[in-house]
Amino acid sequence: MENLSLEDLRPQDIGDDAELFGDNGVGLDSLDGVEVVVILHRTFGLDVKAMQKGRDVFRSINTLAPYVLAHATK
Amino acid sequence: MTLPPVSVLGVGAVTAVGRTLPLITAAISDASPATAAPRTVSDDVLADPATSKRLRRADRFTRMAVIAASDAWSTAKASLEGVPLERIGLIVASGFGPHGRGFKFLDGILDHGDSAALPTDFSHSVHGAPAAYITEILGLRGPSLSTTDFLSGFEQAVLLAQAWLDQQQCDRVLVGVVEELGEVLLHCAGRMLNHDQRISPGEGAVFWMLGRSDTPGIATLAVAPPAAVDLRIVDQPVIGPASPTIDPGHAGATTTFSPYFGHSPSSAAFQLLGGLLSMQAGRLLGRLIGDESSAAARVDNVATFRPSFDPSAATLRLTKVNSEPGPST
Amino acid sequence: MSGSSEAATVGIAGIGAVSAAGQDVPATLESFRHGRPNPSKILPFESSIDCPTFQIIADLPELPGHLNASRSLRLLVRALTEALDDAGLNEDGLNEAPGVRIGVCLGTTVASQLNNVPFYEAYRKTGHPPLDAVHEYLSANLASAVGDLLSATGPRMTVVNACSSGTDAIGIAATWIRAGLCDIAIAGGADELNRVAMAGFWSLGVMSNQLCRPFDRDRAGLNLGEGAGVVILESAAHARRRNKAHRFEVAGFGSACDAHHLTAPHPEGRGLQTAIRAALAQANITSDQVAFINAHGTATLDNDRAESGVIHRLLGETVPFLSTKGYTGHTLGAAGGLEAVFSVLGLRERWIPASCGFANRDPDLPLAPVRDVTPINGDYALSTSLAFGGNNAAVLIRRRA
Repeated sequence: MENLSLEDLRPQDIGDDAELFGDNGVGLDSLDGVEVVVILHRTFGLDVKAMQKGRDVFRSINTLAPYVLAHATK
Repeated sequence: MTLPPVSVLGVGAVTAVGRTLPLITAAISDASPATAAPRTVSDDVLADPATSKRLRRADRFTRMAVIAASDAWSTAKASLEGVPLERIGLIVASGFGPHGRGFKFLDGILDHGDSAALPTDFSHSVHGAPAAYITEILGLRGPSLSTTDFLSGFEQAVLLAQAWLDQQQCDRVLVGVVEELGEVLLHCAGRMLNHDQRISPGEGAVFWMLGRSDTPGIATLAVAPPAAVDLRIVDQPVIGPASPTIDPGHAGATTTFSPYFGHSPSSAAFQLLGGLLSMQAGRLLGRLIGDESSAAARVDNVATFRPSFDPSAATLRLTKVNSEPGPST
Repeated sequence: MSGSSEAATVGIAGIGAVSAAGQDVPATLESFRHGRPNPSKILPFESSIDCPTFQIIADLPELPGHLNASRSLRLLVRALTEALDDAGLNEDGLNEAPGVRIGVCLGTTVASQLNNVPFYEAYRKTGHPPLDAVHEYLSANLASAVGDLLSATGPRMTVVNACSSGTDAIGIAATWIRAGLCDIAIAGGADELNRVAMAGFWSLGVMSNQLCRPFDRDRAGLNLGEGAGVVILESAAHARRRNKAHRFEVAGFGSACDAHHLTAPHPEGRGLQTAIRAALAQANITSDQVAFINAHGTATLDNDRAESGVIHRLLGETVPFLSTKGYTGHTLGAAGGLEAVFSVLGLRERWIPASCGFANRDPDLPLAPVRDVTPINGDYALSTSLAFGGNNAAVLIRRRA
């Protein structure tokens, strides 16, 4: 959350099923997207190229969490 | 060949002595400023609620530029009515660029490895970052240019704006400068600057909205060969003797705004701001050099002057609109 | 602004280029003739990123003092020397004539930043690093350094518009010539392979770990390269004084923003559209007169999609186009300079090379680039550049008779 500097949002405000990207969701954009990829790589050791290929994984917390758990190397 | 002068339609600034023009005018009216070095912009100036959401990822460098550009836009609002957005150009000049964010990116490389540095740090560490924000926030669709120079970035930007307007490539050009004082730069400046001169580094941003001279504005501006003016503005050390190279034959007054704004590769834009405010106040402002007092005087034209450079080099000249003919014509 | 009056004419007096495609213009043409890319076998610096790059292996001129530390500047001077020779101007010739004003407008990214990793590492460790890197950085402003080397008295500008810098620099130099601010202008750009830039483009997820495939169905991003491309622009009046006639001109130029996003191009390329239209209008030609297009074609998903859409919309289905980045990599600030040179070459030689890296048409794109050496008829070439941050630039080169 800190890295993305989303001013008025707190982590608990983001519903597990909420769309992360795009105007109808939390409002993250493509730059936030690549930022999240790097942060996940740093924190959990996830492979960057694999994450870039599977963009659907980033739709919401519900889609992202299982991916991280399944592939984390840290 | 000289290009026709252009109209100044609006100005916005974020400086060590404040953001709004009345505040800055009040600061530069203090003829003996007790100013600390370096000249930094305070954080509360940068907390701008109007743009903060769109600036969520932006650092001080980009924020200073965006706020100053937005202010110039607001003050020029009336002159922008009916001007298509593709006809408005933007030029942003900076010597050192967003180096603070650049070093943050390097922290990422050194702490986490080349393949794990943060993309928002990289994309904000390039010189063109403020221009990208400014064009997006103001919706500008004309030419957008970011430039870098350590000596005459602002002068060259004004010259190009004159050419764009004269050749009808644009109907308005927003020209600005931005410099920041990051920790690494301050460290280097402390070691590299000539201690005898006690030059005070400065940061901030100044933006000027320009149009062709047939659009009425608050002054006309041109890059022009040196000529006699009512008020000449020089870069000066914070404390120290006046430069011995100043031409004693110069008839008008001489002043400097360096103690208020500090030095940077983009000083000329700040010096010119001081000149504009003096013109509007009808008084000799800044730290005057020589015997002048800041009594009311005719200040119909001002020019920046850099004694350390070739004296035949072109200067920036501002002329009051509707002024009577005088030594400057 | 009509192109018919002498004051509006901006001649191209000379060209010079150094890139992975070739150490100079003749070597570049050889690579183009054979459709042969030259990616580097090893990275020129330490990096954990394993991606192809396009490095230059060539002798570079030695420059005085701190200037020699700037690889970008050395690349620039190499290309500049070739261009000056091509123009029949050598350093002495330029300095001799009284009253000749030379302008210098050059694009770069790497040379504008204090991105010296060892310097910063030492700063972090000791708090008191050696300052050589800083002195070198301060002397390496491209336009300033080149201006000083030539004792030039005209305008100077270093353009840092990311990927469109080189093209923008040419447009600005043309503006200067038309404004009478200088008689000759040195325009183009230079950039060197750099560890920080590499980490940066990797982090944005736009760099491919395979050789780049512009406009291809399976494209997966760009490869970085390095180089310098220079065009010498000259006013018609000055050329007359030298008894020279220019075969090539900058006929038109346009530059416009998307006003869309910090890193992604506008999906429909609206800024590029505006820029191309402006260039066509300035040249006073219609789109069917464009003989070929040297596209930006970085091989990123977004660029190639946006750009091919614009080309299709404005210039139709049949105009031959290519990306030369399969030969040079993406040379950032140098790209626009190099690609203007390549555009002159296409008009001069009457052929364009295969769009290296392209194999399979992307069904989602309306167009495909040329697959083979393609003969060219016609007098106008368009070179386009799209930058991160949303600036777009287009330059039209004209061949006279």
